[in-house]
Amino acid sequence: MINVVVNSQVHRVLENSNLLMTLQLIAESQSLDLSNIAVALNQHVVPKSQWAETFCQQGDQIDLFNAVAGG
Amino acid sequence: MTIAATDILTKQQFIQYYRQILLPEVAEQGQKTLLSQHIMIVGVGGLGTHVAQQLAAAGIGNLYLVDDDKVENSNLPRQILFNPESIGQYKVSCAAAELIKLNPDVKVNTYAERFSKDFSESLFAGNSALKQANEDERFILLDCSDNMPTRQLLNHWCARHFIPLVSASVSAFSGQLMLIDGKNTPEAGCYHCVFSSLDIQQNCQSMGVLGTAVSLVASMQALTAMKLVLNIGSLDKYLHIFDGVAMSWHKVMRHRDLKCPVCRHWPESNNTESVHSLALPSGETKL
Ligand SMILES: [Zn+2]
Repeated sequence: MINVVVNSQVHRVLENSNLLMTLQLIAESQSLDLSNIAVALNQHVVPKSQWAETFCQQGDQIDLFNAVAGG
Repeated sequence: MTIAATDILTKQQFIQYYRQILLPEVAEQGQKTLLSQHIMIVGVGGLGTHVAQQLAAAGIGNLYLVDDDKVENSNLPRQILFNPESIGQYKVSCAAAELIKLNPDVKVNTYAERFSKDFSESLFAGNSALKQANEDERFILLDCSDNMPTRQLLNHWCARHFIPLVSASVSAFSGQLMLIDGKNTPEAGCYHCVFSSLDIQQNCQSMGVLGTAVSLVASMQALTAMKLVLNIGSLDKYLHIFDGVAMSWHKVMRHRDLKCPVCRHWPESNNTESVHSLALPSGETKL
């Protein structure tokens, strides 16, 4: 298992987890809608099409942002 | 066509804009650039009224306001160009009247229409000055709208025509800001590369918002536009996130989604590294 920090909270995930697996795990426990969010890994936005190809590493900082649409 | 760029500032203009001209990054040439610039503001609500007021005061020569809404009482706490007498009138008309009073140098074009696909497709055909400005790279668009379908539509239109887009949004205490520029920073991608959902149920009507938070995000949006027009600093490739409770701005680097259907016609960028290698340069250990 490795530790990743998601929105300032430490989560333990399997060593070979990709970003998509990690996000699905968190979405389940926090009723998060993955279609509405942007994801930054260590301060870089990861496009949705790359979530499954991006592997998490020990200490990764993952930030989730809900789209804001008001004006 | 390029009349404004070769014009000399009048003595009155020189005095009026003196504090801006004093900045070496602006100077007299920069002020002339501002006066010859065309900026379209889509959504004349909280963000749009603030942005329009700031840009008009700074001497952006040609503003285009697009909004099909009429002023309501509940708009007044944050939509600063309106007053109780504006209620029931088109936002674009009331805003234009105030902006012209504020700065007679500014030409304000109004469209009391929704920014739809049909509207966007007829824009250049119906306005040759705007078409010319776009060809001369003197046209940018500011997204101040209040809903996701319009945001995606604007992004789509700007991406197709390579129009620089400064997208800002605000809701409750949160704000977001990004500069999208297919010609100069294709590697940062478009709005759809970051947020691909076509609709979300969240706006100022359902979430509430403070005018002061709106004003802050609007100022950042207007500053981004001014810097872009005047070529000040490096081109911004971040998603900026404002947290009005924590009183902080945070930014994350954007990367183009190579599978994005909206910006796939953009030129290749030199930046082909994978996201993880960008996020963690080799040899760098985290925590
Ligand atoms: Zn895109």
